[in-house]
Amino acid sequence: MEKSLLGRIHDVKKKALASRMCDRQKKEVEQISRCIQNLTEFKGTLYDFDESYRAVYRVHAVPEAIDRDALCELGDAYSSVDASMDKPNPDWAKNSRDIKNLTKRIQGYKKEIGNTWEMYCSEQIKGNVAMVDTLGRMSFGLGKELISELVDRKNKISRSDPKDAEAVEEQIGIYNEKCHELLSLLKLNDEKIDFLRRLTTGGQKIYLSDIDEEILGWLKENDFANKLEVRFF
Amino acid sequence: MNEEKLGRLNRLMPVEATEPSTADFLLTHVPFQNLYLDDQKSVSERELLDDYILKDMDEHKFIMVQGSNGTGKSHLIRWIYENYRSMVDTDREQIMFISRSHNTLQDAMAQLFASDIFPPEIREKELKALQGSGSQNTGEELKRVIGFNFTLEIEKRKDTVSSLKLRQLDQLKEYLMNEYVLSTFLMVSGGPLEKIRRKIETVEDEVQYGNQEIFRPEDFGITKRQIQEGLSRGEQQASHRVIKLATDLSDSMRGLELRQKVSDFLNSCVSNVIERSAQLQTSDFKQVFMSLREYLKKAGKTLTLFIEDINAFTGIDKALMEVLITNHQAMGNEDCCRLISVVGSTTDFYRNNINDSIKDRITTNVMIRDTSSEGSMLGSVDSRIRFAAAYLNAFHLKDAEIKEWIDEGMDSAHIPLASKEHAFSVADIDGHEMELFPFNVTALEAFFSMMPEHERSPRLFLRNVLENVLRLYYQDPMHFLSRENRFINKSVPELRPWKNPSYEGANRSLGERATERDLLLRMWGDATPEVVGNRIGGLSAEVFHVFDIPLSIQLGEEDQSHQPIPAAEQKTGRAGAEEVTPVKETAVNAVAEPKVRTVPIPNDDVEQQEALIRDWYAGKDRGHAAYRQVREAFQAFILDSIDWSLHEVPMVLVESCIKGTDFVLENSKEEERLKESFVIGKDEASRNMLTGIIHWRWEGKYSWSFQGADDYYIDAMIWLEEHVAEILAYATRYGMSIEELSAYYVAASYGVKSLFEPVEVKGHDLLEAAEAIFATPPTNEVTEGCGPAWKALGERVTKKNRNMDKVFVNALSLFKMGVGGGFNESSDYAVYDVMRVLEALQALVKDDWDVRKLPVREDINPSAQPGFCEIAPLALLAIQASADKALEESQANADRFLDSMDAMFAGDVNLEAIEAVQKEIKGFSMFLLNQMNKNNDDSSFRILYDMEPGLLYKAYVGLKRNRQGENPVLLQIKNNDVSTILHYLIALKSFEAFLSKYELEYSADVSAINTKEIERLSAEANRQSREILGMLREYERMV
Repeated sequence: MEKSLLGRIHDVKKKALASRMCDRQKKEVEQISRCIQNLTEFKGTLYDFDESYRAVYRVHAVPEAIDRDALCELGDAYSSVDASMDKPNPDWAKNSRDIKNLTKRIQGYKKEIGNTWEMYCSEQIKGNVAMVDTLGRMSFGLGKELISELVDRKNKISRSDPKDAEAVEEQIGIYNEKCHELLSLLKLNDEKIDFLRRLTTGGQKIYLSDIDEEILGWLKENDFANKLEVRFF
Repeated sequence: MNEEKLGRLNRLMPVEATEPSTADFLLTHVPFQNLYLDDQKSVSERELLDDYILKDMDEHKFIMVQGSNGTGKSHLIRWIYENYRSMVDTDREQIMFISRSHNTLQDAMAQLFASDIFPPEIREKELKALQGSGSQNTGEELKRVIGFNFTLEIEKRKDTVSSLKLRQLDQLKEYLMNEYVLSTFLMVSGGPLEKIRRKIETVEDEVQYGNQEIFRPEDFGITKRQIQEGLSRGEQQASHRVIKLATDLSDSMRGLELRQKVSDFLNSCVSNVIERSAQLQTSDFKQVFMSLREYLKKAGKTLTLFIEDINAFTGIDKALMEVLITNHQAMGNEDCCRLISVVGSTTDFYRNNINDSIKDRITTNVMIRDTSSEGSMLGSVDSRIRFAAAYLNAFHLKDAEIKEWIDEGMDSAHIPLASKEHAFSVADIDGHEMELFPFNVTALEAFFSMMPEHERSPRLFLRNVLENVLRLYYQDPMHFLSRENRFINKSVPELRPWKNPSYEGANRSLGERATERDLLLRMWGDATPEVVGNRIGGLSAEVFHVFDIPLSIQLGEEDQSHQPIPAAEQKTGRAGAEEVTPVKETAVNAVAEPKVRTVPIPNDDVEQQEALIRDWYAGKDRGHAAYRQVREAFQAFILDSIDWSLHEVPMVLVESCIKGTDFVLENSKEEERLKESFVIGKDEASRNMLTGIIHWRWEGKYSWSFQGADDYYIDAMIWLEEHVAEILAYATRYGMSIEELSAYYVAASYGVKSLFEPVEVKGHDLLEAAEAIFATPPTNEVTEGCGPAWKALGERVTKKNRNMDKVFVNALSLFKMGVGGGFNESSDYAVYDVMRVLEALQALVKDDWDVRKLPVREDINPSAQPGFCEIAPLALLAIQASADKALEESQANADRFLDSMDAMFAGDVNLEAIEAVQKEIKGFSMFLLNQMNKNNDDSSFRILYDMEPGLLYKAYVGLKRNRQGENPVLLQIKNNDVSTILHYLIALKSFEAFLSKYELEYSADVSAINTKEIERLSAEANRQSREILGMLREYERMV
């Protein structure tokens, strides 16, 4: 005999509940997996940040915004996510969202370190870079190779990664020393160096009185006199 | 062109649920002159806006606009709203306008929910919760819920002081739940529960106006007979409490007072019952507004509410009031923004539903005085014409003209004027000529004067006069004046009569289309056909020309100046036009020494009818239809003049068999066509008789009391004496004895009734059987789905247009005592000749109650309109011809039903199993909703669990026995039984499809995931998390 209606209803209910249970479990597995994926991404980002942070920390080039308070707050925020994972029936979807948001925050910190580092390097070699640039344009026969080397070094420093902060710091010292070497090679005394600095530093003027006999002689000697232009203003 | 006009009319009239546009509204606005404050100080609408609303905008304000139904509350509030929103900074001021629309709670709440004033956070939470809390019940179900809620309210009030005694409250509670009382009094169309339902639920496009009393004493006007038939008998016998209260209510002495007390008491419960029936949470409602005000305060904004009619909020009106009185400056309300509210209320609602503590918090109370009061919109001729002219002018304006005005900023002081088409329909309003067509001043006043006092409101004047007349004209201008009753409605119960009845005849002599001219002169003219100068009845030739009404006399050219409003009226502003119409003063009095020409009055009816008979006798036949009135007079004469009881012919038979249409004046053509008719021979005696009857009918008004009646009387009576035998033979032409007719009617009454419901006759004595057949009329409801054969049979025996629905009524007439007596419908009691009924029942008993066996004569004329003697035999013949087929159909359905039941219960059908299955089916929908979040409409199979299990079991057992031959199927398988089981089968099929759908959906073999997998993943997540946390904590130590 065919199954009674009552029996059919019971069967459907049983299967429906089983199906609901299965759906719920699948969903939960999916959510935890997504959460783990986010955790992995978070960890990767954190490692990356950590490397840079520690490097710039050692050379005292940490951005102001990433101070102790900010890092403690990050730790606290994460701590509450961690605690919620420990509770019974954790809300995995919410945890995933929270972790994603914290990941974004760390990515922001990392970017901040990069910007600060770039500015730091630029500041360290700023004066010499302009002088080397001017000397390069003045086409000295002597010291040409050294100038070319200095340009290469400057480019490497500018493009350096904050993770290499200590090594770059050393490179900055070498760069500045090499600049001194160049000045010695070109026999540039203090007056000439000052003249060149004023010439290469934007916004400074050179008056006729600044060009004394010695400077004029040096200019003529190096065949720069015809490159000078004097005008009224 | 006319369609355009009709479209414009639909948009313009503010009396239906749709609101006119701002432009149309401002075009038709007429300033209020009858606004008064609490201290009786008159105030203009502009002062009200400037001094009481716009002034001190930071102050809390609660302005109440009161007035009777139709005085223009909504109009005033709309005017304030339109002006207010153009004057305030709408970025800061948030404005909500709730129109009256259908004036139901459902509609008011819908407007609230649709308002864009609520920010998403309130919309998503509080508003959504409020929206979801409303009742899902509608229609009849809602009515029952309302009824039930009254009983709860009564229970609640037992502890409070009431005009009813505790005992009476108990009785009333049960009375309100009695099925007979509900279906006969309270739930009927237009009954109190229906009225309440329409306050909660919008029904089609109907608009509810005002605050009508819900319960009236007549709703409890139960009669002794109704108590006996509806409450004291049968299975549904009411409890002693119900019968006691019903008896007290029906008491001719004390009943009146009790009915009033009961209706007053129940009216006082209405508001609470609506609140409970609508199931809206008042606390949620208040919270929505509180949140909104807090939100606006934070956003630096303020709120203004315009509510056209608080009556629409009945049920949550108290909660709304509490919102409106909450002053942001009061302690504890600092977080709320400022609220200004302008609320309309009928005077009755204000008096009965708003308590004193609320009234004290109203900051300005504005009263619109009644229509009759000085300064009101309809209070004087001047104001009435001004009011109508605004609408009519707006109606006649072209779209382009309106658009230009809108583009220029809708300046109310410079309303565009429609071009004038006709001189007669122009009125001078403040120096502006305004078009009133198709009215003139007199017509407007004439229509107004015919409105009963209680109907004279602007709304009804607009709807039942202006809109009605405009619609009639523009729908069909050619037949505009063709019928008087087209102008008649609730507000205009009759039109103005002629000033003198004799003018009716005089009008006819003025040319063709007398009916139209009659109406025109009475309503547009001065109600006379008098020719004065170049006018008839005060109207110029132009008017007749415009309405295409020919005149047999020539009128001269007319001064084309329009009709001014009478000077006296303009000065005083007082009405007085009911007795003296304006046109009379202007058109008639303006002409010096008028020459009045009055046309003689002919005695039309007598002369016309006499002329017809004269011509007929002379051989000039006008056709059967032309003699209708004479034939009807003849019928009345013979019914009145023959002593039917003396000839032992029942009056019901006479009235049925002798109709006006049965008589034909001798004429070869008609005789051929109407072979069944009684022919009045063409001879001198007949002519004299008919002439006499014409005078009896029209001169004596159905009596011989008129001058010279003797000769006519003798002529008529001599003819009757000679023809009485023929007439008697004609009246009894079927040759049926009263016994035979009785047998047919008893059998047909039983047969027809048993098609629709169970009639317990078998095994009962004859008196009980008679009572079962005749105590209540048959339901005559042919149920859909009962199968084509049953449906065809049911329809055949109830067909109204063939009088077949009269079997039961005719039977009662036949057996009513007092042969020759009339059937007094107004009496509560009637005496029947039971012996004749019992005699007729004997035949049925002999045939074992099988009406198929009763012999029915075959010479019955199956004419389109069967008469008294034909109806019962025709019903029986129909049953006899079709019953077998219908029964076969029933049997087939019964078999299907039994098979389905057996399958459903796996062969074990019993009461417990039925109850269990019903419970399970009902629970299944709930299971899907609660557990699986699947919302299903179970209406298609609700009957499966709603049906009384005993009934279902009884049907099963009964039909099973039938199948087993224990109780052979006779005519006792009723239509209703069949339709019930059919409905059950259809519902079952529907449920099975429903079940199959889910069987399929959940058929996948699901093996739940091992919970260890979840544990493993959780542990992994925790492990990673700990690692991260460790790293982060290290920074705290490092930095």
